[in-house]
Amino acid sequence: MSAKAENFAHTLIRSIRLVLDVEDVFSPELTLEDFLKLHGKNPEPPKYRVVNVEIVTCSEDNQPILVTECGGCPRFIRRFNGHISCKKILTIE
Amino acid sequence: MINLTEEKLKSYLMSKAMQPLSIDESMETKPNLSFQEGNGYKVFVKVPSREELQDRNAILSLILNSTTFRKTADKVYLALPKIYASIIDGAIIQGQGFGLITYDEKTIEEVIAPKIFEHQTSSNPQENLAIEQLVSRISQLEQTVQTLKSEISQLKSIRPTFNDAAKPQKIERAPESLPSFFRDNAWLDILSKRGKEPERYVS
Repeated sequence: MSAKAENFAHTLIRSIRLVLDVEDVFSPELTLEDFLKLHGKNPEPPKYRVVNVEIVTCSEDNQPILVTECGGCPRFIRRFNGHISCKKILTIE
Repeated sequence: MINLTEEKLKSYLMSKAMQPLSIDESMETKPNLSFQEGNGYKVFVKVPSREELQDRNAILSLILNSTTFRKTADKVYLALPKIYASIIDGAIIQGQGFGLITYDEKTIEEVIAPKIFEHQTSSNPQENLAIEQLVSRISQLEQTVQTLKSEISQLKSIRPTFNDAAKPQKIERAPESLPSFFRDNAWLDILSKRGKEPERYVS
């Protein structure tokens, strides 16, 4: 016998700053911290561009997803104080 | 598209016992929907169009523009598509006292409850009159207290200082009022001192 109950999950948003080399497509994407360690200088435009990627771990399947993808999920409720609040189905067996 | 969304929102809020109101055309920034709750609160709903939702800054400017609604409405909602609700942090919306309604093709949901904006001016004219009367009476009382204070300080400055000369002197009886055998009687002085002296016991 199993029962389903609805609860709420509050998942912390992780924000990662990535450095992209727009002139060399084969150059690896590095985080800003790694780029500074490796090159010892700031990523200057126009060669480099810094993008901010916000990701969360989905409370249903524990897969990393973009925060904007949460907006398309029927379980998504809101983004609040750096967290994603969504409905979570609990299965009690 | 936006009208369909507004219609959905209208039916959603009407299901929450809200009555639709006509929007005042004289307002500079107009809400998309206006309602009145059962307890008399006026509720405004701002539904941004696709053009208004271009980027994150556009949403922030939308929030700032909606602050003008606080003067006239008791509660203000922003209605955003779910995808945009994932971009903007709801704490910013709540910090301004607004509520948030998210929607997509299937669902409409209130995810942040709005605060009630307290308006300074009372709508009841009798209350306003009573407050004005009280204020005028308080100001009169303040004036009276100030006048009394100044009078007291003046009186303190002109108060005479008491010294020994100013002490009231004992009134001696006129010798005419005494019988003739009291006049120039040496015993009167001795007898008057009796009882005031300490007793002496003779061993």
